[in-house]
This record gives sequence, C-alpha cells and structure tokens, in this order.
Amino acid sequence: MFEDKKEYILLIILSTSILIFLISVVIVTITRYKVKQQALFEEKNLLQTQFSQTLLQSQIEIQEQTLQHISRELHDNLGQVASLIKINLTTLKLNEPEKAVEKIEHTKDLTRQLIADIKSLSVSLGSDRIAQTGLAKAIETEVERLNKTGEFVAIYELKGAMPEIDGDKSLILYRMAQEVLNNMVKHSEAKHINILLHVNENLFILAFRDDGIGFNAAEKMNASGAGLRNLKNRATLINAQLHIHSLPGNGTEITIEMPL
Amino acid sequence: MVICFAISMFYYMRSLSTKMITWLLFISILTEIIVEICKHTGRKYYILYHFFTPIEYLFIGLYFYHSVKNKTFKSFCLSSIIFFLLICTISIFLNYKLESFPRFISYLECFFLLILSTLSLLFLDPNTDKAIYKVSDFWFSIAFLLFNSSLFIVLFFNQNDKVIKEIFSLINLSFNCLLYFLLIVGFLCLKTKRNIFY
Repeated sequence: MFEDKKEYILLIILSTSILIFLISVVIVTITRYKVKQQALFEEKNLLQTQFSQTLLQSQIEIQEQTLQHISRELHDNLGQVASLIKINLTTLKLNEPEKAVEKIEHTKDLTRQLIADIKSLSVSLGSDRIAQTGLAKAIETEVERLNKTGEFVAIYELKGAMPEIDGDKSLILYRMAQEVLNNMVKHSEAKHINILLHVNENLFILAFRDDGIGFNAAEKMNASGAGLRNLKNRATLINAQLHIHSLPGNGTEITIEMPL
Repeated sequence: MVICFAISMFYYMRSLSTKMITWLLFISILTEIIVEICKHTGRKYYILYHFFTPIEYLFIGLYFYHSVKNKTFKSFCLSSIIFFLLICTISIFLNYKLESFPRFISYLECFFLLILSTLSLLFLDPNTDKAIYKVSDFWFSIAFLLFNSSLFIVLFFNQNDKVIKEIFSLINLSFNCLLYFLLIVGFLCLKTKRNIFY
C-alpha cells in the first residue's frame, strides 16, 4: 500500500476536505436557488397584480369614455334629430297636402337616421365591444369618430392580417390608442392624423403621426405629467415598446411595438 | 456511457448546451473503443488521452458557457478554454513521452472543471415552476463536480503500488458510473411534458 504514513493522512485530509467542500456547495446552491426562486416568484406576482390593476383601470376608463360618448351623442345627435322630428310633426299642416308629404318624407328620413344612430350607439354600449369587434375595428371606429368632429382628417391603414391577441392585451392596447389620440386632439393642434396598424410575422406595430406643433419628448417624459408615463407603464405590462419622436414644430410620431 | 449517449440523442435538439454533452459522449465512446482496440492489439494508448483531454474540456467548457447566463462566468469560461487548449498544445509539443498518461493536463482539467461546475451551480438560474431537483443543469453540474472531485483525489497520489492502483481504478470506475447515472437523470429532467403544461 502507501509507502509513507504521511500519504494516508494526506489522503484522509484531502478526501474530507473535498467532501466538506461538496456538501457546502450543494447546500449553498440549494439555498441560493430557493432565495432566487422566491424573489422571482414575488416579482412575477407583483407584475401580475400590476397587470390586473392596469386592466381594471383601463376598463373603468373605457366605461367612463363610453358614458361620455353616449351623453354627447344623446345631446348633440339623437336629441337634435328627435327635436327635428317633433318640430316636423307639430308644424305639419294637413290642409296643404304637397308640403305635408314633403315633411312626412323628411320626417321618415330623420327617423331612419335616428334608428341607425341608436343602433350604432347600442354597439358602442357593449362591455366586451373590443373582444367582439376586434382591436382593428375598435381603432377604426375611434378614427371615424375623430373624422366626424370635422376638425381633423384622420386616416387609418391596416397592413397585414390581424393576429389573435389576448383579450386583456387588446383592451390595454385599445386604451393606449385612445390615450394617444386624445392627446393629439387636445394638445397637438394638428389637422392631419395618420394611424397605421402594421402586423408582420412576429411584430405588432401601432403607429400614430400628426402634423401638429410637436413637443420636446425627452422633457415631457421627465415631467410630472402622468399621460406619457401611463402609456410607458402600460406598454411595459404587455411586453411592448413605446417610441416617441417629437420636436417642437415638427409634429409627433408615437409607435407601439409588441412582439407576437 | 452508451446508454447515456442514446438517451442524450432524444434531447439533442433541445438546446446548444445539451448538444455539447451529446458530442462529448460520442467522442468519449469513440476514444474508449480505440483504447480497447489498442489494449487488445498491445499498442500504447495513452497518447490518445493527450488529444482527448483538451477536446473533452472544450465540450464541457462550451456546455457550461451555453448553460449559464452570467456574463462574467461566460468570459471566465471562454478564457479557461483558450488557456487550457494552449497549455495542452504546448504540452504536446514539449512532451517527449506522449506514450505516458498526461497526468498534469488531466489534473489541470480536473481543477478547472471543479471551479466551473461549482460556479455554474452558484449561478444556476431559478425557475418559478420547477424545484431544483427537476432542473437538468443542476444534475449535469453535480455530475461533473462529483466526478472531478474523485479524480482530483485519485490523480493527487502516485500510483506506483499495484494495490493502490487497483483501489483507485475501482473508485474511478464507481464515480464514472455515478457520472453517467447523473447525466441520465439530467437528460430525463428535460422531458417536456411538464414544461408544456405547467
């Protein structure tokens, strides 16, 4: 066997050291893994909570906007048409048949318009409107609304086939689109707004461009205003990226890019 | 070793890191076949290990390189591979006794692998859905760590005595079996059924 006793001792010391080393490595590894796993789990939970909160907030905001829209429509459109119908009917003179027929025809047209408006309003009342009509259609409706105001020329373009996007993500994307368009309406002083929805194999791109007064994007992002920060937070929650290009006098371009 | 290689083939396409182990097993099997042929024909076979050791380290090093995400570890891994290959090349050119067992190179390899496997265990990325014993990289690292620990002791001593040589060969054989057993466990942890649904 070993020629020297020292070699036996060395073998024992070396083996024991290696054994202690191995046990320590395994214990440290398992402990570290569990700590890291717990931290990751908590982070995941936090993200999920934030996502749910944002989703809820988006739903409430959409509901509020829908109510405002209904109120405006009832007052400005449906109310006006109904009033016209009432005026037509009260001023109807049966002893003047020609004029009466003309008025009745006009009243029929107004009634038809009223029914169509009520139908379109009822569509916008549905709580799962985006899920039913799809994100692309919902954005198109927003663009139609913008055009109806007569203050803007909004052009909407869809490139590529719309993919199936998770309902919650669609809602957040729709809310982001609304937020961007609202900001453009309120602050941009633009005349033309272009909205492009571009879908390719692995990327969903929603781009907005206006010819308004623009702003200093870097300054606004750092400012206390919650609008842009909200957009950025929402983008993060759906794993999307938000790009804002704007300079005073040069219009604004906002892009939302989400991997599919 | 053959069973381990056969199992590894099922998971070959899973990731770049598992591909490295599959290739390592393939080269090990080839080397062992040549060694056996040499033993039967009475030829000297230790020269093979002068070439097998750097290749083995290259593949294990690349496995660790691809399995750990930490950038510092990755650069250390690459540096150690380059350094080791350089030492091996120098050793082949300077060593006039290529027919003897490359003890220094094997010892250096063993030392480096001990460091790499320890660090890879410490940098192991957590998975929220899996306990540590279900992570394949944990078993691969443990396999290399245990095997190289035993080799570290075996290579440390001069094995002039026949009895010692036999005892150490037996220890080496047992740890070899343990290595392949743990590698198989690691490969079986790659089974996707659970990964897809959970």
